[in-house]
Amino acid sequence: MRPIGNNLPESLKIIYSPTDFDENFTGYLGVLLSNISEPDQIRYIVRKIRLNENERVSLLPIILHHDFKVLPDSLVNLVDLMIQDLQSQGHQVADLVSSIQLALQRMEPVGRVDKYEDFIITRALRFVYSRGKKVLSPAVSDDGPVGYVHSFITQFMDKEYSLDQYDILRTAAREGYFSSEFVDIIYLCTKCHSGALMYREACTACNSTHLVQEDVVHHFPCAYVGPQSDFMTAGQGQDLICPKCNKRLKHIGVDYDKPSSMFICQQCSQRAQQPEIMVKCCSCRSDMSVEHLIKREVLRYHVTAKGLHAAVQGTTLSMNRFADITGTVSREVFDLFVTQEVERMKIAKIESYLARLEFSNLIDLFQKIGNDAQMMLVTDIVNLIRSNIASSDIVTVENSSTFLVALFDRKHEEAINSISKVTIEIKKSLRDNHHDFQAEASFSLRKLTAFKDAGEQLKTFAGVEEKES
Amino acid sequence: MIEDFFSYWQSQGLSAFVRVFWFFVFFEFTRYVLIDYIIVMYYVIRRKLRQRRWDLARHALLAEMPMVSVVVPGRNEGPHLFTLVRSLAEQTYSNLEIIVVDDGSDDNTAVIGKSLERAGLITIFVRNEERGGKASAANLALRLAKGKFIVHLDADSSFHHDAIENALIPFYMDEKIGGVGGSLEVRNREKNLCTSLQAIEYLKTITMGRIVTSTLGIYPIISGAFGVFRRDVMQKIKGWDIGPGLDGDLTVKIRKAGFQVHFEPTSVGLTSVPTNFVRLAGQRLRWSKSVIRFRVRKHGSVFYPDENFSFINMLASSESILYGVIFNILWYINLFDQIIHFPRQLIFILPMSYLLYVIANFFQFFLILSISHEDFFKRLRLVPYLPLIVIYNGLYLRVIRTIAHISEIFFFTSYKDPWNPAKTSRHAQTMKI
Repeated sequence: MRPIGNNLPESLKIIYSPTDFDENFTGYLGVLLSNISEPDQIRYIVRKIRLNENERVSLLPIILHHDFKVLPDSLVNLVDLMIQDLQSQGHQVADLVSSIQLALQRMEPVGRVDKYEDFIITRALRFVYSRGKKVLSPAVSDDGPVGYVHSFITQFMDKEYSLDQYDILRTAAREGYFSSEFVDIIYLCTKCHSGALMYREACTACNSTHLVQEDVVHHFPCAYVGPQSDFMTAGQGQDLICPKCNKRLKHIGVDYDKPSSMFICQQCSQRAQQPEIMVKCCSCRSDMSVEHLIKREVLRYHVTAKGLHAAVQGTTLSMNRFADITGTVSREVFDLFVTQEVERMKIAKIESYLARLEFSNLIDLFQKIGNDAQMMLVTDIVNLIRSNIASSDIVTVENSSTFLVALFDRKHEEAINSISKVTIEIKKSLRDNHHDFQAEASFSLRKLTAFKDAGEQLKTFAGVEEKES
Repeated sequence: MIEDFFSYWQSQGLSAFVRVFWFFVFFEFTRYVLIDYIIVMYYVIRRKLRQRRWDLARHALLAEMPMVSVVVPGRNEGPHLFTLVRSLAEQTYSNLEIIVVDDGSDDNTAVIGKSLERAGLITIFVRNEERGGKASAANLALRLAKGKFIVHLDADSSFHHDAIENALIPFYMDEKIGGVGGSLEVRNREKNLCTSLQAIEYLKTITMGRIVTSTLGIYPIISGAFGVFRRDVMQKIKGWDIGPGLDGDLTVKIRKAGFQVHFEPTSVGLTSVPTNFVRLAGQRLRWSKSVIRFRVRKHGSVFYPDENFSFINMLASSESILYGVIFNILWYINLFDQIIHFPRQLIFILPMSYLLYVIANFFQFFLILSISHEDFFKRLRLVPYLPLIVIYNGLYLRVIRTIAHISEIFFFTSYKDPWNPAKTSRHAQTMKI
């Protein structure tokens, strides 16, 4: 602890350079970076603090002391205060530190969080709450390839996966922790998700960008229409001569006009009025048409009452970002269908089953392949399940490793065969596509009964009736 | 009353009958019944005899499979474009490029056209912000076309699945053919009386009338709604000139350039016709004026015995002028003749005149039915309208034709027709074309 100015709390850890930085934060109530001018160095230290496993450390107030002319917004969003004069602004630092400490003291400890996205959102909610803010605003930034960043979220991610920030926040908003407000639209490379794109006019036939634009000329007396080059005869200078009637064009609007223009490809001679707009990704050099770009809405997120409550109470979040996968229903709809089935069973002589499919080590694979690939993998698993069950059966994704299936009007043998086959096929698919990854899968099957409340049956489904691995 | 009618005509004898109805006997009956029957019989026999030539030509076409450019110039035609491209996508002949030129539409044609182009259903869509007239739009499409053949269509048309293939085959049967006209029938024929009457008229004048003129070698007009042309011929004659009536004008230009034109009845397109008599009158005024403007005024030289004189071209133009203009005048002469010389007998003459035309129409329509195949029953449904076609053709269209001819001959009104932009019509009038 080195007091460097009046009014500054003594419990500040002061860092003068990255080399000066150690990760011992015990007893400190805040961090002050003094006279470190390189944004990358500041970013490095801020990330070290914000990503600290110990939540109390990660939420420490960070104060920058420097005469900063320009600092990226994405970085500004991660620090709490920027001061230029330690002497005169010391009391601001003290006020900030004490208000954040008060907020931190009000917050209950967080329970165990299994999923990374739950962890990120929990941290974000508690960060926002402890700063007395209610908003997560995106910042335009070159930090990462996407363009707009929610820097508090993206600091938890590798740059190449920062597209996930939108999906995670959208899921959190769907779960009711945030409400959203439109800010902008971004378009990203289909392959690498970069927002660094070059837009060019290209030939509609061969995609060449070597195009020349020409006016189209209409000669009134003979109704000839063609590109202006048709009217340019060698040796006639700037005069335009009609190729149909050999008359010299005299006066635009009187004997001719130019009703449109046209692009002529110098590669293949294709003529088109509207060239194709092609996009080149500056990051991965891929070419694509604008129609194929990934489109994302950039939103500003306002913490809701539910979000604030979760932040203060340290509630364990459980978000399901897989609810939109085609072929699945939300958990609410799943429960509703099962309830209806139980009601139906009271008047019809039918057998129906609930199945739970779990993969205990899938999380290891997700960490390797990243979040986007995780979404694709979960989608593949859903497709494999769907291809082995009847179209009237329903599936819900409980989390990235657990899938619930309701098999309606099915004999026991049929139900167990379907789920066994699904399990085998998923394991095989994971082994074939992910370098011999050996999935640890298990499934449980429970027969629904008309004599018990559906809600109770769903609730107690964890109690396994039949289990096979 | 009816007894009086029949006893009167029985008492008159043949010579008196001919004296009163000389126009019907020598012109109308001869042209539209007698000649039709003779020529159609000849056509049917010749078609059968030439079946092998047709098959060989079809093989040659499909072996070469040249690109065909379908050009669709038009204004405010957006709503029809999807139906058109869907009809073209169904064609048995598939090597098509579709070029649509929007001639300064003020509706959503540009939006529709661009989206169809983006979807790959139209090869090239060009939007001209300034309206230049149909000829200019067609010429721009021609300039952009790459096909060996040019198919010129109206956007509100659709086609039997083999229409383009059948229209291309004649080019492989005779290399002198520069243009082929397809048969046009009325798509909205069951909409109301007006469209049903036009459906009969199209069958008479296009399906039947053009078989006759084409067989005689004097086929005068390849309809703008569905015509197929060799691109090299189109380039030689330098495309379309200012309209209205640019399709008839183009046909004459092809003939004057030394090529033949052919009508192919098995190549069938459907087109939408005006649904009320006021709009129909506007269309027919325009068409009838073009006979004077193009056949008489612009291409009057076909009648001069100079070094470019062609007897068949003269006959082709004569046919249009004869039946469109001269017959019209003769009909009035015959009418005045009846009024002046037989005023008291008009009570018997007018019903007989009506009866004669009804009978002639039935004769002609049965001939049409006899060469109908899959469309036989559809066409049969038009029979109840046949008695009305006498009034439609004989009075309604005749009056319109008369007005059109007088206004064009004396007042040059086609140059003021808003169908064509004034900026181009002004030049056409100055150049007397």
